Amino acid sequence: MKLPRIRSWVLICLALLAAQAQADSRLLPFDARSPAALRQANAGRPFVLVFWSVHCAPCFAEMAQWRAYRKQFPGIPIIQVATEPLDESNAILSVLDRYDAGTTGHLAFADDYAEKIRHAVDPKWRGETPRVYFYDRDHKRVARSGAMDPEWTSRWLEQQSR
Amino acid sequence: MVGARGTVAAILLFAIGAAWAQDHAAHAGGKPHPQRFALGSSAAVDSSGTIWAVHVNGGRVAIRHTGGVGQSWSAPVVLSEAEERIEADGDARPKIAVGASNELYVTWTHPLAKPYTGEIRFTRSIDGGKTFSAPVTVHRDRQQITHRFDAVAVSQRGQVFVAWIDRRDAVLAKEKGETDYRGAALYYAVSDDRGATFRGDFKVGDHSCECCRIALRPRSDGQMDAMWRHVFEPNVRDHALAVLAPDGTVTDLHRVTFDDWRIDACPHHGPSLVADGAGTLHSVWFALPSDEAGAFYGRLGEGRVDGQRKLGSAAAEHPDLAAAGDMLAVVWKEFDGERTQLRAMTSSDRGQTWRDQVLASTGDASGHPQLLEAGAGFVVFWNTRAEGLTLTAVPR
Repeated sequence: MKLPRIRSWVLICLALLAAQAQADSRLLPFDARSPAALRQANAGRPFVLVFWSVHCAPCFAEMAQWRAYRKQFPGIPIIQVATEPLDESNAILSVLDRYDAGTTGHLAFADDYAEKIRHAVDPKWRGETPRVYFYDRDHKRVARSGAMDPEWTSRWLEQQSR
Repeated sequence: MVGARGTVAAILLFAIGAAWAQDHAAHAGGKPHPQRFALGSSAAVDSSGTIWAVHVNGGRVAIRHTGGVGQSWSAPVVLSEAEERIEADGDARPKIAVGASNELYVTWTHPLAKPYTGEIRFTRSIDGGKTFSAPVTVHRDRQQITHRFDAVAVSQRGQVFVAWIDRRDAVLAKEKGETDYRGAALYYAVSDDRGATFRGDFKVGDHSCECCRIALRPRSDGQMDAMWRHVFEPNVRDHALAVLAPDGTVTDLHRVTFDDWRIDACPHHGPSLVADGAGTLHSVWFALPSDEAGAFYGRLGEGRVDGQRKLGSAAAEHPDLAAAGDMLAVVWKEFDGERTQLRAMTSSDRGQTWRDQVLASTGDASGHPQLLEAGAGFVVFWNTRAEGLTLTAVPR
């Protein structure tokens, strides 16, 4: 899919500046305002919001698959958010170092008022992980809990990338 | 120069949105977070009515006590070593049990370097909390694997039971090339000498869920009931119960909840178990076979649950319960979009009829509420960011 060129480069530059400001923190905060900000930043574009936890073995198992999908579908942002608070970054980063090494731009809950952040994402989400939201171009979304169904996921990504 | 790593960063940050990234840059820009008072904590009551709480303060396990509702807490006494990391979020939190002579037994999980691994640590006081022993690791197995989600309880004969979730069998299965080992296993150890030494490691069973707290309940016969989230075939995350004997014998392992929650996920949401004066088992647990499900109460029967009912609204979570004779109390928390409510229901007829009430609320983060039997009634222990360690009496 094509992105408006000028806009995207301006945004990338701004984003890189922001990234530099946080060079010491490899994790970005995800808070109660973030779901709306994500929809706004991805207006007219499908995206995937993946929530995982350092306690969640099924989550680790599918990190490699999300990594492959990011390469395969570069036009569909796949945004991964740890549900632990940022100040547990040691635990979060030790998982990422092992299962998604070298990828920056991961996020984590900004604080431990998890129920408030979860409520902003979806009042029906009860905190179980993996929890994944598939937003289509119109941001109609499908929520899925539990281990990934790669067949379903591949099909969704292929459909959305057309 | 933008290498492969830089490209990925650019793509992700682009997706997140520059405005948002800038907005957050200010507070994520290397400023240290305020010293966090972790919310994972537990409490227990001794024979004099003193309430003891363990929590994590400045990264170390600490203990405090108070005379009861409305009284102040003592200054924290540190129990863990300075360099030792502690798990203290959600169901992974320090635990405490009290012996008949007011021995204090404290456990916690010390995470190791590899993700998802840990050791179960233990310390005790046999002088009413004046001094504590140097922490020791409870299990014999010292592989760098999962030993986590500790639970501690004292039997009617004064033996100390520590149970935990253990991945040694999953690791072994993987080494043998078996890829279909479900979940982890449950193990326990027993101390006959008030926590000076432990015997173990005794296996309860294979295929527990990996990330939920275990409920222990002392039986009148000196054995221990254990209830945990199991992974029944093929991936049903309902609960199991077994009877643990002090000699390591495990009997009567059977399924006790029947929600048929089929999922490969980490609910991080363990059960609680008590018995009323007539010996009936009452439990609260969490299951999500549909969006309408959630936190439940029920009485555990033979192959069935009696009086199962959903707690509160769709947002009800992390329930706990307590029993005293015919009296029962259930507590849970519930975020209403603005605040987190502490809600309860009480029964004076062993769970036949219930009365709902709202006990308190908080406007910031909070741990899981815990019900205690203190003095003449029930008290809720709740660690909140805004109010600190709180105690709330449950009106009957």
